[in-house]
Amino acid sequence: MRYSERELLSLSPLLNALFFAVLKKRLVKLVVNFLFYFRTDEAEPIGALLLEHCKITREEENVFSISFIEEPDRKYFFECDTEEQCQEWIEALRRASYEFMRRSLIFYRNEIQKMTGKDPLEQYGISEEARFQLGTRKL
Amino acid sequence: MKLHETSVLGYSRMAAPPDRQGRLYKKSERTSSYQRRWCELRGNLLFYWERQGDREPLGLILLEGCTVELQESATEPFTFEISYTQGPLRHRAYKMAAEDQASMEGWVRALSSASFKYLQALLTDLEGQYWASGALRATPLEEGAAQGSPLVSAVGLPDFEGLHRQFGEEMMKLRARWREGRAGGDQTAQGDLIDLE
Repeated sequence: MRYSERELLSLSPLLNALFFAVLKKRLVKLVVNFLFYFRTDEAEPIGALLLEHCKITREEENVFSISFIEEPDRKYFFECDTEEQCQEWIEALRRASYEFMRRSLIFYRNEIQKMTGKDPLEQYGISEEARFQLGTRKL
Repeated sequence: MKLHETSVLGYSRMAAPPDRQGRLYKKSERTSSYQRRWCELRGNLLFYWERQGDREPLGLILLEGCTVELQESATEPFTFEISYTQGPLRHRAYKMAAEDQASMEGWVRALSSASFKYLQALLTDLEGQYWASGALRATPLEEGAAQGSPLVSAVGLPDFEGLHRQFGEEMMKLRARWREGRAGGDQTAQGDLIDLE
């Protein structure tokens, strides 16, 4: 399957941390809904994971794992330096998915509409878009 | 660089319907001819297959930091272009053609607002409105969420302009660093970046 590396590499890093992944020390960067990982002394990432349709699980102390719904038995483990760092990463990764944001948006839209009687998406001219409709997606 | 295919393919096969789907013609970089493709927009990714119903997509286009513009062309009607506007990224753009005016407009509208960052800015705005509306009652909590604000957005960015400026700066730094790495000889990539059709 083709994709453009340049496009992925152009994404700017928002969060980064140093961690041990499967006994290998890696620099990991979260950019939009992609998790890039690098060898610590290199500028170009070795790889990228798309953080959609996945599950972030707290494992033992300082450790969390990422697994994909399609491959529930395969877990990618990440060990952090501290428990605090581990918690921060788990929260950040759970929110770093387009689908999560979409669900959040639908929730807020619905709540604002209930409270104020107005659809907050109307001002943007996107209130009719299928992708923001309540009911077309499981919340 | 290795793109983790299971995660990407898994997303493309989610049960929920895509944000937009349909037939588009994609201009080949090699042959300059337009090739018919079945396209599905899901989140900030545009997947394309040779035919609707094929299992493996031929490819995907990442819709972050790009602009989508209508093309005025007598010889190539209903065409639009997806291009990356920031300096270091101004490489090959994707030229696409729709089957009619309505389809073209629909796709341009959908692709223009498909980025994660756009959704994030929208979400930040709505969150603000939600709390300003005096929401004091309990909100549904997600497992492991921070207390008080279960649906906090990841980064609180101020506005679109600030967002684009910051994005551009960071990208140039990343690109410069990458170039230095390549010039220094520690080459991990094999030859050129992946050639698109």
